[in-house]
Amino acid sequence: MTSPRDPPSLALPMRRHANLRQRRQSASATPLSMHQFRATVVAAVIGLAIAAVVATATEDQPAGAGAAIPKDLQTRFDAFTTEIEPLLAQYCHDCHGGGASEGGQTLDALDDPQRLLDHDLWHAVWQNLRTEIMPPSDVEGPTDAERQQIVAWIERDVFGLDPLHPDPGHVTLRRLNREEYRYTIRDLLGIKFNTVELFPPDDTGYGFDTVGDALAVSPLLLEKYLKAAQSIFASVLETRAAADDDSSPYQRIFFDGPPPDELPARLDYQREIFRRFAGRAFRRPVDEATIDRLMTLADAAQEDGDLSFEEATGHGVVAILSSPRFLFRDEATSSDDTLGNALRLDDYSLAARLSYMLWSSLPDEQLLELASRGELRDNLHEEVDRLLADERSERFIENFVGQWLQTRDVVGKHIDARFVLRQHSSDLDESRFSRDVRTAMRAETEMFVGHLFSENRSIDELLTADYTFLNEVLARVYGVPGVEGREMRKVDLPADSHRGGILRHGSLLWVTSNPRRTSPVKRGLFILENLLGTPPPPPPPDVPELQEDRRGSTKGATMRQLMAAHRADPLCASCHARMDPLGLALENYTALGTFRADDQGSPIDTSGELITGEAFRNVDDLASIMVHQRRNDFYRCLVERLFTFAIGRGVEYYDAPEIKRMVQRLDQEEGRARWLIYGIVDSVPFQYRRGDEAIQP
Amino acid sequence: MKHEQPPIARREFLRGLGVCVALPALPSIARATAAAPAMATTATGAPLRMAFLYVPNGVNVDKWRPTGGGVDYQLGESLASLADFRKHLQFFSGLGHQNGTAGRDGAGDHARASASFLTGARPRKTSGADIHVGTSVDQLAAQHIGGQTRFPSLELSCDSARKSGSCDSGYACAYQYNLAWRSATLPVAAEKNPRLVFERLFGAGDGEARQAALAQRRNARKSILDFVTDDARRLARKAGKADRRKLDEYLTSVREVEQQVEHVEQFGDPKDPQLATPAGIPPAYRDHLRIMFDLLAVAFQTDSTRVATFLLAHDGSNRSFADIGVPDGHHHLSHHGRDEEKLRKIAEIDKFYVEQFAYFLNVMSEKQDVDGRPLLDNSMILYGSGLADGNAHGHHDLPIILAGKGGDTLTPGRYRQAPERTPMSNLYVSMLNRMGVAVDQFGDSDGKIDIG
Repeated sequence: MTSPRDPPSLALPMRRHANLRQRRQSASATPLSMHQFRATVVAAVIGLAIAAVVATATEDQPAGAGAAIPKDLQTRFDAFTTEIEPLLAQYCHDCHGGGASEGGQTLDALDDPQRLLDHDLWHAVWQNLRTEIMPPSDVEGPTDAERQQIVAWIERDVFGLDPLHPDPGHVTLRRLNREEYRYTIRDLLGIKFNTVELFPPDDTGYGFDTVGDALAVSPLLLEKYLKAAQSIFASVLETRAAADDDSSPYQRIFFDGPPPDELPARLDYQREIFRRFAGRAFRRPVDEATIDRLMTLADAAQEDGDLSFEEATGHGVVAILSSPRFLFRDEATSSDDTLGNALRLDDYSLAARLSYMLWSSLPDEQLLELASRGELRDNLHEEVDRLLADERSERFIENFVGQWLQTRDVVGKHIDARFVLRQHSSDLDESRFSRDVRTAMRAETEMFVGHLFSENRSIDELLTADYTFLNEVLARVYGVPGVEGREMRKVDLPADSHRGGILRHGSLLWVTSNPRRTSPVKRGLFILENLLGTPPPPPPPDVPELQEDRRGSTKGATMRQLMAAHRADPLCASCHARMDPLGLALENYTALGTFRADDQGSPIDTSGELITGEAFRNVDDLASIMVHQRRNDFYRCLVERLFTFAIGRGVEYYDAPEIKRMVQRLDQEEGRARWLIYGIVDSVPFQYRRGDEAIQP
Repeated sequence: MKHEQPPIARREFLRGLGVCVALPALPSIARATAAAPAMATTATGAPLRMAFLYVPNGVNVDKWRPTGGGVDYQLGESLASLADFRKHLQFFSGLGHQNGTAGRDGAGDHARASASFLTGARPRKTSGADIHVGTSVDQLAAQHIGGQTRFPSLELSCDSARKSGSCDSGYACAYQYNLAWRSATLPVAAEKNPRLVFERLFGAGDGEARQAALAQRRNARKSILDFVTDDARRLARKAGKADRRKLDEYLTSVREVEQQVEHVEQFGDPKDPQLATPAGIPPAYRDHLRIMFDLLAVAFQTDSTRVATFLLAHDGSNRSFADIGVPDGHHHLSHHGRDEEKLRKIAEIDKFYVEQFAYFLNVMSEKQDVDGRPLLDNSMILYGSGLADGNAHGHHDLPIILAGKGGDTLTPGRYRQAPERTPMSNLYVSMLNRMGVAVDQFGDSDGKIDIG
């Protein structure tokens, strides 16, 4: 999460705490239970209908910051002085007050009301408190109720958030990325168009290529769009011979076959072709003016170039496929349906948000039909289920999981198999680590996550499953017996398999390694960023990467001994104490993802503890802690990753109330994977646009 | 104007032999007299070009840096392959990018190295929203002189795959994967596929088919461009501010494509280079780099553009160089911690890149320009990295080489020692002036550099 200004370090650096931690006697954390979390939230469950009623009374107020601050600054400050400051004095001032300023932050001497407006300061306090990173686990911390009190105070009086009037945020007009373009063309026309070869890679934001702000248009790309549209239409004409096949590309445009001879009938036909095709391509009904312009375009082309009916119509088709209404996700709102200053998206826009989230493509006829009847909102969960049941939902797994868990990178990432195998005197041959096994690694993770959604399993299984998906080549690498053939299938793992859960998937282990060795730092960071949502602040500038593999000079040193250098310098230790132990828990797995009992003869110690204080002996313990004691972080992280992918913007501080609702609901539903999706599609940011920026109908 | 050159086999094309291809008929002279000042033009009337070539992760400074000074200098060990071009080269010390340094922005030196390299500006730290850095020197030149060629500028890259997930330390990936910035908020995408570069420049198909395809594409485009412009304006009318910016990007792109069409109407179709269309991306990185260099030279020779950028690899690239006995990742090695073995391997990688640069210089010096001189003489080719020593993420005293005579406005064959912490942007001002762009200031410049 970031503030609306320059993103600050997401957490206060904690230089001295690393030392404090070493003095700790016992690690007894009292994680916040979901139960207590729930109790403190006011009116947590907002039915949209109820909210809309409330909204009519307050429609003059802007959504988001400011909307819910009825009190002036002085009043807020008085409340702070009596209710919050004593808690800060008790739990924070030892390190952030009285002359001490750990991490460059002080939380005492807050005698100026203006400091309540220091968004960056409170954002950092908020982040560290709610994830229990502060106070450090080895000093006395606030009770859960006190912690919640401070967090709720920041959200209410500093951020100005009002759970009854969530700010949907601003989603910048989204261009289709090259995956979406490819699948949209496939579903629209039945033509396979290779965008990966022909289009430049898309820039990403917040880890995903669905973020509107990062998806630029350049002259090069526009040239490519024009060229693509022409070559796609040429492919359409090539299927003319199969004109009696209703689903042929030709029939999808020339729905009634070749044109009639008489002119008026021809023009009527052309008009209807444009109406149907533009309606599908633009994902909503088109106005007459657009059809008129297309007719003019086709007419002029026909006269100029002595073209056939089909070729002239093709000019219109190319224009449609090059239009910003096709290339961008043009959204409309209904101004008579508001929530505070948020405007509700119309059903066609909602249909497209749903289909692009789960199919990376345009809505099908049923979605458009429901939208046209205004019935989509009443059937949202049913439609999610239907879209997931369709094989096109594989694209969701491919694109969402591919980026979230970086499975997209496995096949292309180079690991020096010969070197790694030789180091570990493995009896495996390097030829085993061909493209086949990397493709299988990718498939393992993607099929596994796909299975959680399709079978609506608990997302806890993401970390704790005792089954996975394998084929013969991958099973050999894992040492799992009895799997034969190329086909990937679900396999129940033997108790001694050392596998299960994505922490032990080849894909994760592979993409987080350096070409010749494991990287506990990268692995730890991966877990923090993508599974716990609590990344450490970036390293201070100009600090070179630590020398982790001077195998030449420190022959025989284990990775753990080498990583100990991180702890020697307090400056490094504060963050590496968060990353390294998590990565070291995976040291039983080589850079190739193979299991090893020892590290070149030295025993491997996988024990450690989280920054929040929970101790673990091995990766099993770690997984268990993540789904139990750190469940709130784990659930919130997954919600936030999917939120970013589906809505197309980064998660902001003002999303906190809506994210909290989704996490709670997910918890109530025992973590069932579909509730991740239901939560997103039901949320205000998915269904609304910010009023002052929304596109008027 | 002669057209007797026989078609050249692809193999020769790949080798980039210095063959003489069909040349444009001194267009700059004609234009210079028609329109007021001659821009991007040499004294003989030939086109003047500039290219910026970027190598990632800094270098092994000890083996890179020249010794001596002025005309009396010795090449660094990693630069041995440039020996033949000594008299065409200028080396610099002391140039850097203050805006690449951490400042108050913390980690993310690779993102800042790329983003500041041609902009001289500090990238705003954001993971996606509010991307902001500055217009790059090549794009500023293109905005002034680009109207004289079919393509205002050409952007090339050899990066195919991008890492998933977040990029460098909280910086949006756009900063790391783009050198060229049309405006502070709009990066210009680069082309990586040699076949597509060629087809964009000269049309698809072979020989006559190519010409026909170009003509056809042009006619069809005009009315379609009108239609989509209308659509974009309609959307913009009802859009909010941020959305309007996206539609502006779209409209600007449409305008540029229109200008290409108009340019051809005015000056005729591009001369066919009499070369076979290259196949796709060659499997070996070295071949990929070389064919891109071939294409860049042909683009210059046919006066398809006068401004280009080429990202040989993005900063932070962890490419491994097994072919030259360095299987380790480049980025990983760059954090060498003074380890002898790692430093040796970095120098090997530096040598590899410099050899490809030498290849390009060779192609550019064997190709003849319209005034009969080697293409290299009428060019300014900048080669460098946004980091000096990758280990320390140094953004000052960058490894920078400027090749070419700039139409006799440069005096190469020198090692120029600028005062410490001289803005790299000062060099850009001097280059822009030679291109006919009359600016006194660019990026964070506080003066000019004597390169004449």
